Amino acid sequence: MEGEINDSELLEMFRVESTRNHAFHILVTKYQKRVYWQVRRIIIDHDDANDVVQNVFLKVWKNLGSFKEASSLYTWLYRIATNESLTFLKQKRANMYVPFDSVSRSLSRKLEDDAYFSGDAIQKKLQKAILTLPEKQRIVFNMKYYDNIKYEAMSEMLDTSVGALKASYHHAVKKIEAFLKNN
Amino acid sequence: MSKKQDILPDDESLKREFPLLHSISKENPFSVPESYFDSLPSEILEKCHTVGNGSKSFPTKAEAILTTLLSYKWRLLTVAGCAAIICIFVPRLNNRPVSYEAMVQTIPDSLIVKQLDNNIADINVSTLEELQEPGLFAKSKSDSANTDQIIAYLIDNNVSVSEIENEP
Repeated sequence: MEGEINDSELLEMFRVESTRNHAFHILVTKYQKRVYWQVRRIIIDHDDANDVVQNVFLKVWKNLGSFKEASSLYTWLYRIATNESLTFLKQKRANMYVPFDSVSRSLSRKLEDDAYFSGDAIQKKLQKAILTLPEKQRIVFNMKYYDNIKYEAMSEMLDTSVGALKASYHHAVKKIEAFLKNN
Repeated sequence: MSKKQDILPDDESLKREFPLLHSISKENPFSVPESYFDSLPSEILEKCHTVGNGSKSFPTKAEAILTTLLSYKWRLLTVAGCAAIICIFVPRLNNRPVSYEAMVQTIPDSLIVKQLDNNIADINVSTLEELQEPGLFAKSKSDSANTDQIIAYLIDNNVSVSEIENEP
């Protein structure tokens, strides 16, 4: 069964040309949802998130052969997904020729008429509150609040100390609470 | 409770310190198109094979800028092409003669004389005598001068050759 193949075996299969496609198909199937939702919560829009996710796995395809397994495969994927998401937002900001706040406002507006947002009004408000956070703080909040990723794993993914992540999450929660109270 | 633990908003502290956030469901409010995840692996694999190594499916910032410049390049080329066409044809329009005098200037005298000789063999002298320029038909120093004057008179007064021929 595809689900029973561990990451090391997947890597071995990928390094052999005859089994590379099959290995990659298994890898994408195994991690696509986690990668997608990580990206989607940052990018908000489904079509944009789809583009970024495809870019993520394209990078994985190109670089998996030289992956040195210094970290877990999932950590490596998460890192690529985060970087690609941040790059996308940076490009969006550069193309808009406006400061950071406008990108957040643009994403917030997308929530209003997004066909693929099925949350209620309070959940929409929460998403808007999250969008007021700086990008990296938003990522930390999402990873902890929604995915409940341990700080040690998060530290590896984001290349940030555990203490800094804890402080960042705490500040994020305070800001969101204040936003919910004032809006 | 230690200070470090105070920083960590566990469920109980979250409920206590941040009641509004705690009251909101953690259920994923986002959705995807139907069967999106079913087809995504195949789509990605196909893209990996299509794009190949060393190239990118989506433009980088540099490529996006280059694409933008190229789109403007075509507009600029279009404008430049129109300007070139205008520059080519406007001088030709300007060079067109606007008066009979200017047109006649371009025709050799010998050709005009030959034409006149063929068409107005019996020119009416009295008509010509009405010319204000004296000695018009006197023996002039050169035939070409008389011819020039005749031509000039005919043109200036819009004299019809057939009228001359039909005069008694």
